Amino acid sequence: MKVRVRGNWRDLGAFIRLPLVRSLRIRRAGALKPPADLLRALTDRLHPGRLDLVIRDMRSETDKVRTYTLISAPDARQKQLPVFRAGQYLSVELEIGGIRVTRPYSISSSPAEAAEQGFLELTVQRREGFAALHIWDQWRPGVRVSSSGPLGEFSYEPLRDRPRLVFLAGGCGITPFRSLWRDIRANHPEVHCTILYGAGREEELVFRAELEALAASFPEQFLVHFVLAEPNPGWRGETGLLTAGLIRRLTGPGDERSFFISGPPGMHRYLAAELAGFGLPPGRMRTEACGEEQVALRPDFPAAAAGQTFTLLVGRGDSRHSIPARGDETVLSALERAGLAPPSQCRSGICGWCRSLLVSGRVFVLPEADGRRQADRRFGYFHPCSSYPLSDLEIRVPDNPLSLAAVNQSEP
Amino acid sequence: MAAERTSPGKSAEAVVVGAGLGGLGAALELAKSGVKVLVLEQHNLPGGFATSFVRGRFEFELSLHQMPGTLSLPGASGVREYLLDEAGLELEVAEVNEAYRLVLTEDSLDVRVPFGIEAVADLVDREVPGSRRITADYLDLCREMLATLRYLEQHREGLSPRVLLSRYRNFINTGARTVTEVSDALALPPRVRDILYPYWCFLGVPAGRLSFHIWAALLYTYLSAGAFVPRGRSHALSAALVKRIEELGGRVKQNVRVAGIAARQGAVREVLTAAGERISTGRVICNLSPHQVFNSLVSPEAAVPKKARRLLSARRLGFSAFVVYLGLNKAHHELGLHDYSYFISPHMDTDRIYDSTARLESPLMQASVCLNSAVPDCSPPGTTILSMTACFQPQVWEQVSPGQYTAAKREIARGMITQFENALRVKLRDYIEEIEIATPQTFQRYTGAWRGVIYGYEAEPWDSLVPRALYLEKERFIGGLDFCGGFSSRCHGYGSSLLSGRAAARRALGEMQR
Repeated sequence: MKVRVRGNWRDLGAFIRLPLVRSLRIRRAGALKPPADLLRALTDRLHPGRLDLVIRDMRSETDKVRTYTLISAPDARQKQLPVFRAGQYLSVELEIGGIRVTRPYSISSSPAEAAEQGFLELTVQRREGFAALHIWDQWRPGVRVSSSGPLGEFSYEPLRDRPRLVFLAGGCGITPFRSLWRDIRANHPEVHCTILYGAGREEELVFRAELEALAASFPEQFLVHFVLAEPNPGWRGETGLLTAGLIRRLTGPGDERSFFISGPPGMHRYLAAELAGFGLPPGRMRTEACGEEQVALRPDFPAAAAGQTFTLLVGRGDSRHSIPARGDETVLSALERAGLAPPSQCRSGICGWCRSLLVSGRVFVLPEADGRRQADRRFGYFHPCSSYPLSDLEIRVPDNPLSLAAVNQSEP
Repeated sequence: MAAERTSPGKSAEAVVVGAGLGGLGAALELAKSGVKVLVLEQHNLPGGFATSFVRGRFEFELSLHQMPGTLSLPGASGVREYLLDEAGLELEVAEVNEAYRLVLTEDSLDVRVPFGIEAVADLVDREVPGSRRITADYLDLCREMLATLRYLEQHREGLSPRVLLSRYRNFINTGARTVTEVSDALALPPRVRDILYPYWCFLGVPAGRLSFHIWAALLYTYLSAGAFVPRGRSHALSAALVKRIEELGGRVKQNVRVAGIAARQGAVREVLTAAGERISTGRVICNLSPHQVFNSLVSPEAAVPKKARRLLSARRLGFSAFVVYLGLNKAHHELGLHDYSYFISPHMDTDRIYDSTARLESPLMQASVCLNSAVPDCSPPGTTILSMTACFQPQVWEQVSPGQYTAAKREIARGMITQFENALRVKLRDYIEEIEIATPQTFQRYTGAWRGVIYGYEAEPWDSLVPRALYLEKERFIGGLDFCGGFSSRCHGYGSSLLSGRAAARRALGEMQR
């Protein structure tokens, strides 16, 4: 077949003229720098790599729980707080005794408060943990706090979730729900929400007054039950644990609802078993952990490893280091102590930010926190934040731009 | 001071900026030739858009729809052969069985287009009786274009105009022409165009402006060679590339953002990282847009010639993407999803579809993939991974305020899900276990892509494959600096990006030998 588009000679002429057309187009175009990338403003506002915050004030919720109100630091690169989804967390950077660590904390205030009033709140429980104690001791009004941008998937999504929600909170796990109920109240009139909040004693309940006011003011939208394991005499609410029977009784029959569960890691396993008989499809039960797992207490943890100390041979950049690691701590914790940690965010195996290469050795990966990609399993990558050493390891970790930047900034 | 902290002796024979497929392709080729190449990637994962992410029980493919299979053209080695045979990548792949299912809702068309030139001609003839001959001729013309491009690539030097004129006249006659012009000249019936045009969205330029050459090469490649996907998502491809590069002595460093490329006397001298490292090198291959490199990386600014800036202004940026990822808790065959690739639109009027990508609403056309149809075990038994892609022009999402953002993306996603449900007469909403929505902003967040663009510059005839190849050397602008990836010589796409990296590496090797 012979093709003539505009005629043989004209086609040939057009082809020969292509370079001329090209140079004319280029010559006629401006030589100015192209305009700035305007999408950047949106991207940086939604997902700032890092937040520079300062504590404006703090208040006690109970004798073991405090809420810190944070605003953008005056010299922050991003003047405005990020736009986030209710239920998200910040990965807070802490320097404790010369060791740099991160800890995820759910944002307990609403997206509207960040957007309209310029503050975020983090609600922190004092407990026998390295990071929580540090926060408790050191965080005061005026103290600067650095964190990641907002992260996490523990949010209400109308395209996915049923409009009848059940929030099951255990102890410190109540914090993301505060952001969620405030946002739902303001923006999702279609949603009905039953909140079951399990705690030990009455005085341990956080946000009790707010929850009571919520249920009293909007009874058609919010139903709230406090469930105490160790009720004081005179307590007229629910008692015991969040059992299947109690949940069914308080939330009514039917599986056309989405459950959101937030609490200590042990509570997730307990509730997963309790809810097994509800016949919920997997996506209808969404979880968020708070607090660190006591891994040695798990029945599936190889008991022999718990008391041992292993040697990690760590390659980072062009350097190699030999460091100790306990069998009952995550590889990430050992790396942090040695100042060799890769970037990290979720600390629960999911986000993949700390992805590193396991050259040799064996690790125990928390089965519910195994967010590795298929190919990564094959090629030997692992997530140090949800992996525990079962032998000496040789690993390679990526550079950590945060620690490099911090080191460089701290130079005179 | 940051600068003083760095070891002054750091140097590399070649630095690749960005570990997208172009960058990895370049590094692979350099490492194969024994060059100590250093790849610097700002993200914590390699691959750029060629990656995956995990939500709940699902590992979603980020952006790949398909890569071209084995071509049966003389001397043609495709990307598949390059990766699996020549480069020895550890990669399992799965075949895609059919080209696409096309549903035009206003124009009442619902066809499954197979792979294989004869099969396509048969299908078109059944839909448009009597059009077998014209369809076969059209596809043969496309074959001729692809064969000529291959020939030119292999005989870059010493090609006489007389040979071109006598043996490749159809190539010349269509060289300055658009897809529409050629279809008109052949009097290709409108219905035949409807059936053959859906892949236009992989190039992102409407038929009235799209270079016929590049279109013909793409159409013929897919229809004749079929397609495949890596079984472990495109992340498996990226991870396998990194592994091979490092086995061959190259280095891929993640979480290292390049903050500058220093040039002196018209040639690159140094790469500067955001952490303050300086790496001296005479050879830099950039897997990012010239817009970014010339705008904000090359220093001093005066090292960027005016002509480079004019070229940036003359070009039009291609599409950015919007993707709805669904993890469904029902098996794909139970949902009624039997095909892999779906193109859904009211009609195949590419001008009107293109115009719809300039508005903040669900664009008219979506290209969707049911991954389980090619990789049945990509998700747990009884579940399905379905992703729906639409395109936007880059300015659209720049006008979205942060407060509007979540609602805007949710509404567009809702529109796309509804469009899919209505066109295929299936129900998805009740089975959504996981949903993630990526906007142009999301793509920028992870890759740093200029204005969130995932395609390269638009391939109009004046800036299509032949003009880009002819001007490749003249448009290098700075000695030792070269480009690969979607913005470079071969335009965008998985295969093109990879091979553009290989080509940039071969140019570098040639110069290093001299």
